[in-house]
Amino acid sequence: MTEREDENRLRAAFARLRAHEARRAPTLAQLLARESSAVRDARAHRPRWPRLALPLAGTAATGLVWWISASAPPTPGNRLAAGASPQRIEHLARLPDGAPIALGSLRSPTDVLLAPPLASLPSDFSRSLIPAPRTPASPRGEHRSLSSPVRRFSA
Amino acid sequence: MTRAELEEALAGVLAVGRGWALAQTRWNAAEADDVLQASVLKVLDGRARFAARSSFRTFVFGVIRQTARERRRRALVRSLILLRPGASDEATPRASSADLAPDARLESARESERLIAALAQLPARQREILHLVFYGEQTIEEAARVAGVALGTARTHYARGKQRLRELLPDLAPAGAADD
Repeated sequence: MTEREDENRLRAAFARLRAHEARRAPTLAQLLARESSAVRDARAHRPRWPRLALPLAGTAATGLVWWISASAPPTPGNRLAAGASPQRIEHLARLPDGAPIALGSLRSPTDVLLAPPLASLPSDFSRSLIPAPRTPASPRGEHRSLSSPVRRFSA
Repeated sequence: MTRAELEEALAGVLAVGRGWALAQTRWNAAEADDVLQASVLKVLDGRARFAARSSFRTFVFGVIRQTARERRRRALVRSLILLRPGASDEATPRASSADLAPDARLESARESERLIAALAQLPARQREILHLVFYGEQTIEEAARVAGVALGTARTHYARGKQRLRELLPDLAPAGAADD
């Protein structure tokens, strides 16, 4: 078999794979409307971490997030503890009504989330997220990669 | 480009872009869709701007690759912080071909699974270049740009990757077989 024939077989195999996967590809509208896995986890209210939706207590600029430890069960009405851990915020955004939202990490696997009531969020809020200003980097420089601005890409 | 133009252009590369996202996430469909969604949002909201220095497809492939890298880096940092290697972002095996379409498509599905498994045995660079050229229908030069390597390096990866795939898949069906 010549190298050309061999290459054609490879090309054909990739073409069949592409056709196979194309049947599963979402449309642009479906992609924009879908919830990311982080949002799905938050909505399900599972203590699966580290990607959970956290409500900001103050403005995005302060970098304050509300979080609660495992010692306080995540039931409505619990008092929330305020913690300043901007380095753990991975993505800042605002809901359509302007409420700030952060996707970030909790401090330990036993930490749990207490939100604004997640059930009250609009079903397609992930689509409506508007990037908010980044939090300042940690003074000690810890986990800086989690708070570094998204690098721009152009080609 | 206007928003409408961007959306139209994105719609045209979405299927092949998803394939590239799958390749970047070891064929973890949920993770790939997260990467693809984040990449599309970057393009639409201007965080990634198309400067027409390459084809739009090449540009989108670059955005997807960078987005996947950012997510892998974050996952790595998290796993290091939490001392739980892999944490919750560990790739899960894709569904087997057994639950895919029956009969006429079955052989094609099996072959696709074998191709994916063979690609997984290749070094990352070879895998990327071959995927971009054969699946993404990019030239080697475009693939080199997306992968961030010199053209000569990309050619080397291309040749070695092809050779390795031939060894791993000696009985591939000829061109035209079982195509849709």
